[in-house]
Amino acid sequence: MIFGGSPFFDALGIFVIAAALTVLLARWLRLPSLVSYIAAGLLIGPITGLIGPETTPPEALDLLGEMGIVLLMFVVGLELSLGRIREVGKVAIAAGLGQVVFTAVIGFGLCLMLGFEVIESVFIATALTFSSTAVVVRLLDQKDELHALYGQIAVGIFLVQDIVVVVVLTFLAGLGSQDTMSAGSIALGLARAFGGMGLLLVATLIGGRFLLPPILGWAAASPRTLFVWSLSWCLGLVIAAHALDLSAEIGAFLAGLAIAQLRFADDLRRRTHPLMTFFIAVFFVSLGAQMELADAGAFWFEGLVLSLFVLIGNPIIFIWIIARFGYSERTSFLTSVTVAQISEFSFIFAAMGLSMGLITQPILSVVGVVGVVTIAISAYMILYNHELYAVLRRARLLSIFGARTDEHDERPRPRLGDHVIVVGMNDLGRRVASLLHEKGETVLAIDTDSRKMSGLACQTLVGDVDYASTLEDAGLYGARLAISALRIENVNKLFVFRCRRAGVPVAVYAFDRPMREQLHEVGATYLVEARQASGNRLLAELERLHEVGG
Amino acid sequence: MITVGLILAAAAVALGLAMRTRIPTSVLAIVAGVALQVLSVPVDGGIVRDGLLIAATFLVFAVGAEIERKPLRPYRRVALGLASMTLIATAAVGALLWAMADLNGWTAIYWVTALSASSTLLVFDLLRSRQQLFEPTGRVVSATTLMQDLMVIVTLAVFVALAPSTPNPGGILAGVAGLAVAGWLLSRWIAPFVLERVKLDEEERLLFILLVLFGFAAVARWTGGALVTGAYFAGLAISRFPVGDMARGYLKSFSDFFTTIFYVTLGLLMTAPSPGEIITELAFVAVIVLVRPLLLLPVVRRSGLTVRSSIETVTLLAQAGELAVIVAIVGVELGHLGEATLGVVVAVVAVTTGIVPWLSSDPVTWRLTRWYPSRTKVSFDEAPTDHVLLLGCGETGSRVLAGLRPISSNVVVVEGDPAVVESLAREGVSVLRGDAADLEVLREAHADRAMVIVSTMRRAHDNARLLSNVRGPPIFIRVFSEQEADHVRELGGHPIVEAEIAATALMKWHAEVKAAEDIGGMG
Repeated sequence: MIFGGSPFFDALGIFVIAAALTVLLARWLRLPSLVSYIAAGLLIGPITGLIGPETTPPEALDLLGEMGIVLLMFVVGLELSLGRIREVGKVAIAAGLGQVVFTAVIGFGLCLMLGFEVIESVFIATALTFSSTAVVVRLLDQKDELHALYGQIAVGIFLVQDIVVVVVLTFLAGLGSQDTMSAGSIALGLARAFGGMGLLLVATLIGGRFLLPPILGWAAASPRTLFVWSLSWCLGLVIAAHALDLSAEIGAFLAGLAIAQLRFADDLRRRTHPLMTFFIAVFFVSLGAQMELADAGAFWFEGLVLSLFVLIGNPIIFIWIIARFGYSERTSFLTSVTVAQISEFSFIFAAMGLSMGLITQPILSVVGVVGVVTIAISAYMILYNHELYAVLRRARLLSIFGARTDEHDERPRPRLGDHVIVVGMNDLGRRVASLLHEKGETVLAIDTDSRKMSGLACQTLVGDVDYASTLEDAGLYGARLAISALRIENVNKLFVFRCRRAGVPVAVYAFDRPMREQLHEVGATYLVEARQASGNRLLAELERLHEVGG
Repeated sequence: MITVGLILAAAAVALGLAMRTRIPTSVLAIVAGVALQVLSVPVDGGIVRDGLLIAATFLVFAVGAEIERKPLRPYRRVALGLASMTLIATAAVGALLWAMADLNGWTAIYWVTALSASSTLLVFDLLRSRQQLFEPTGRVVSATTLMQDLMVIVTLAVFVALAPSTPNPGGILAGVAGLAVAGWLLSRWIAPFVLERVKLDEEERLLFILLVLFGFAAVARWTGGALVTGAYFAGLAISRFPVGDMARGYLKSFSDFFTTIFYVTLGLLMTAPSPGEIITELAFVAVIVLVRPLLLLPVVRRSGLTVRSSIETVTLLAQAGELAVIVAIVGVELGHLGEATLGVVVAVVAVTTGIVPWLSSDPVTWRLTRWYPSRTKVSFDEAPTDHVLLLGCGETGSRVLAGLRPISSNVVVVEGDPAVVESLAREGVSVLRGDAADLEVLREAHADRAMVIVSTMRRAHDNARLLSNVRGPPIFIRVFSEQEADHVRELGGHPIVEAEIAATALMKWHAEVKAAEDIGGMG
C-alpha cells in the first residue's frame, strides 16, 4: 500500500489535488474556497465521473470528512466563552426553533402549491429547514468573525438545529421501522436524546471545571502533548455523543467549550486549524462528488422557487425573530444571512427517505439542486454580508422589521498597535517584558507555555510564533519592536524573517556564533551576543578583584 | 471514529509517558500500539491500514521538508563519508548474516538499506531541544541524515524497479529523475514565487503545500514507483528557507498528529518475533549502537570537529529511523520480505531510537570524551598557586582567556576536548585536559590554591559540585537564569547571570531606538 497506494489514497489524492487546483485557480474569480471545494467535487463526481459511488471507498474518506466537521466544531467551541453562551442562549433557542417551525410550515405550503404530493412536501419542507453548520462556520472562520456577536448567535442557532435534527431522526426512524410507530418508542427516543444531551453537558462542565485544567495544564509544557491530549478529549466526547445517539458536532463543540476557558485555548485553535482545513476540504469535495443531480433538469423551476425561498424567505423569518429580542438591525440582518442555505444533512435526510421508499429519485435531485444553488449563493452573501447590509439599509428595505437602528450591539475587539512583542518567557523574556512594561511600553508577551507567563503585568498571548496566525493575533504589522528571548534557532530565524517582512525592527538573543551568522543573514536588527557579553562581565569582575587585591 | 479515538488515546498515553520518562515518543507509541493489540482492543483493520498509509506519507514528507540544504553544502564531503561508512558497516553485518544464517539475499539487502538511515525526525528533535541545530555537530548530523535519506529513497526506487512484478522498470527510474528535477525547479522558483510573491491567504498556502505533496505522490504512483518517493521529493521541494520554515507552521499540526498515529498503527500491525529473529535484531542493534559509532568517529574527526562534537555526532547517528520502517513495509508489499521481518525492523528502530537520547547526552559524551586518546600530555613544572583557574573554554571561556592573557600569565585552563586542549597548548596556555566537574581533575589543577575560579560549565549540578567541594577562592559561575543564580549564591558562589546581562543590552538597544524615534519625530 505504501508502495502502490490504495483505492482510499487514490481517491484522497484526487480530492486534494482537485480541491487545491480549483481553489488556487478560482481565487482570481474571488470564489469562496468552500464553493470551490464543492465545485471540485461536482467536477470529479457527477460531471466527469472520475469519482463515483462505485469507485469511492466511502469508509476512510467519510471518516476524514467527519473528522473535518468534528475539528471545525471543536474550533467553534474553543472560540466561545460561557458568558457569551448565556448572552446568546435565549435568542438562539427562540430563533432556532421559530425558524424550524416557520420554514417547515411555509415550505410545506409552497411545495403543495408547486404540485408535490403531501409526503414529498413534508420531506422537502423538512429538508429546507436545516442550515449548514459546516458551511457557515467555515465561512465565518475565514472572515475571522466567529467571535462576533452575530457569529455566535448563528452558532447557537445551528446547535439548536442539531438537536432538532436528532428529534427529526427519531421520528424518521419510527416512520421507517417495520413496526407501527408507537408514541412510547418515540417518547423513549426523545428522552434518550435529551437525557444524552444533559449527560454530555454535565461531562463538559465537570471536565472544564475540574478535570481538564490540571491535566492539560501539565501537558502544556509540551505543545505536541497538549495538542494530542486535547484532540483525544474531543474524540472521546464525540464517541460519547455517538453512543448517546447525538451528533458528532455536538460532542466536538462541547469538547471545545470545556477547554475554551483555559489560557491555551487560542493556541490550540491555531494548532487545530491547518488539520481542520485539510479534513474539511475533503468533506466538501466529497459532498460535491456525491451529489445526485440526475433529474435536476426536469425540476429546474421547482428547484429555483425553493432556492429563492431559502435564500430570501429564511433570512426574512430570522430578522423578524431576532429583532424581537432587542438586537439591532445590523446584528439581526447579519445573523439572518447565515441561514440562507440548506444543509448537507438535508441530502442525507432526503436520501434516507428515498431508501425507505417514502420519496422518489426526482425529489432527491430537487433537494440537490436547492443545495448547490443555496450553498453557492449564500456563501457570497455571508462573505459580503457587511456590503449587502449597507446596500439594503440605504434602500430602507430593512426598516419594515422594526429593529433598532442605533449603534452596534458590541464594541469592536481592541486591536493592538504601537506595541513591543517579546517572545519566549524564560528568565530573559520575563525580565525584558517587565522592564519595558515599567517604562510605559505596551508589551505583548508570547510563549507556548501559559505557566511561564503567570504574574506578568503586561498583556500575554499563548502561542507558537512558527504559526503565522499567532503573529497575526499578536498584531505584528502594527508593532513597534519585536524581541525574541528564545533559544530555538530555527524558530528565531523565521521570526526574524517575518518581522523584517513586516518592517518591524527585531532584536534576538543570539546565544552562539553559528546562530548569529544565520540571524545576520536574514536581517536581524540587533543581536545580543550573550556569551561574549558574559565573558566581558566575567572579565570586568576579575579586573575589579585584581584591583581590590592590589 | 472509535478506531481513530482509540489510536489517538494510545498516542496521548505515549506522549504523556514520554514527557515523564524522556524516552522518545516514537518508542512509547509503538509500545502503546502493541499494548492495544495484546489487549485485543477492537479496532477496524481497514482504517488502521489506511491510517498507516496516510500517516507514512505525511511522515516522509515531513522528513524531506525538515532539512534546509543550502547551509549544509560545506558539510557534503563529511556527510558522504559518514553515510557511506554507515552503509559499509551495515552491509558487512548483512553479508555476515547472509553467509552464516542462510538469510535470503533480498532480505539481507533490505536489512542493509533499511538500517543505513538514521532517524531525521529524532535527530532534529534532539538537536533542537539541545540548541545545537546550527552548531557544527548539528550541521554534520543534518547533512548526513539528508544524504542517508536520499540514498535510501533512491535505492528503494531501484528495488521497486527490479521487482519481478514491475512492468516498466525504466519508467520508475525516469519518474524518480523527473521528481528530482521537478523538486529542484519547485524549490528554486515555483514555491518561493507562489508562497512569497502571490498574496495567498493561510488556507491557500496550505492547499498549495498539500498540492505539492499529493501531486508528487500521484506522479510517483503514475510512473509505478513508491508513494513515499513522491512524498520525500515533495518535502525536499519545499525545504528551502524561508518556504520550508513557513511550511513548518502548517506542517507542525500534521506532523504532531500523523507521526504519533504512524507509530501506534505500526505497533498495532506488529507480530511477535521468533528466537532467530530476536538474535538478528540484537546483532543489528549491537552493530548500530556499538560498532558503527567507532567506525564513523575517524571520519568525523578528519572533518575538523572537536573530539566532543565528533562523539556527539556519531552517537546521534547510532540509530535506525522512520525510513527503515518504510523500506521494510515496501519490502513486505513487494513480496521481498516476510511479515515477521517488519516486526524485527520496528523492534531495532524502537531499541536504537530509545538508546540514542541517553547515549548522546552530555554526561555520556563527556565520559566517552575522557576515554579518547590524546597526544598532548600537559604537566606543570611546579604546582600552580594564586592562579586564575578557568573551567571550560568555549565561547565565553575563550573571551575571558583572551582578556586575561595581556594582564596575567598565571592562568590555568581545564578543558575536556582534546582538540581544544592541543590548540591551547600550542599557544602556550597552561591547560589541563579533563572534565572540570571531576574532583580529581580539580585537585590536579590545584583549585583550592587558585586566586579565583571562573566556571563556564553549562550544567547546574556540575557547578553545584564545584561549589560544594572547593573552598577558599572566590568562584564566579556563568548561569542563565535568576533561579540558577540563587542556587549558586546559596552555595557561596558569585553568579554572572546571562539573562540579566542580555536584558541590560536589550534595554540599551530599546533606549537607542526610542531616542532615534524621538529625534525623527522632532525633525
